[in-house]
Amino acid sequence: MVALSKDNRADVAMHANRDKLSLLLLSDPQLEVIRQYGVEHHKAVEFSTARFSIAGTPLALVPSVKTMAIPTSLLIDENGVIRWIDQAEDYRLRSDEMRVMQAVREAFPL
Amino acid sequence: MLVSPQLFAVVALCIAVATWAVYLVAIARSKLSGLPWGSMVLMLAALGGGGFAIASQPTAPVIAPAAVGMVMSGLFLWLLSVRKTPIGDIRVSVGDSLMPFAAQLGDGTQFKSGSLTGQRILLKFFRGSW
Repeated sequence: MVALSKDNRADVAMHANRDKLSLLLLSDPQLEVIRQYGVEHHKAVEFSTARFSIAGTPLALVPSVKTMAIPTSLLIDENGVIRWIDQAEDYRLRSDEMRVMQAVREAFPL
Repeated sequence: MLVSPQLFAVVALCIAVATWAVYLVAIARSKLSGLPWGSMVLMLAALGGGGFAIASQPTAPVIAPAAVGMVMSGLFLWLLSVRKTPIGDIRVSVGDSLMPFAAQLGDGTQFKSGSLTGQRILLKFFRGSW
C-alpha cells in the first residue's frame, strides 16, 4: 500500500510516527505526481496541523485554502495495469475498507 | 420573553459544541455517509438562535456564547458547502498502465514507482496529514 500527498518530508515522517503507519508514505510537496495523475484539487480547505485531539480525532482549528490531492484510490496488478479507480466526489467521504476489499476481491479473485 | 436571551445563547452554543463533537466522533469511527442532515438542521438552529439572542439583548454575557456558537455552526455549514471535489481530470483509466513517478520518503530518500514492479499495489492519493 502506497499513499502520496502534498505533505513535505517532515510532515510525512511525523504522520508515520504519530499514527504508527507501516504503509509506504510519499511526499509530493511540489504536486508533481498529483498533477501528473490529474488529481489536483485547487482551493481546497485545509486545517493547520493538529495540536490536540478529542476521541482520538486530531483537531486542527485554523482553516486555510491550499492545493492538494483529490482523495483517489488506484488498485494496480503485478503487471502494472490499473484495475480499479475510486475518486471522492466529496472530500469527506473516502474509499473505506469495505469498498477497497470488494475491489480487491473482484480484481484478484481467488 | 419566556426564555432569556442569555439562556438562548448558551443553548445555541451547547448545540454547536455537541453537534461538532458527534460529527468528529463519526469521522474518527469512519461513520460518515452522505450529508449529515440532522447536524445541519441543528447547526442552522444554533446559528439562528445565536443571532436571535444577540439581536434581543446585545450585551456581553449574551454576545460571548452566542458569537462562539455562531462561528462554530457557521464553520460547520461552510465546510459542508465546499465539500465537492473537481473530479474528472484524472489522466489514467482502468486498463491503463501505471504512469512512472518519483517522490520522496519521509527520511528524504528518493522513491521510484519502478521499485513496485511485480507487486499488487493500492496507491492512494490523500489530502495530507492533520
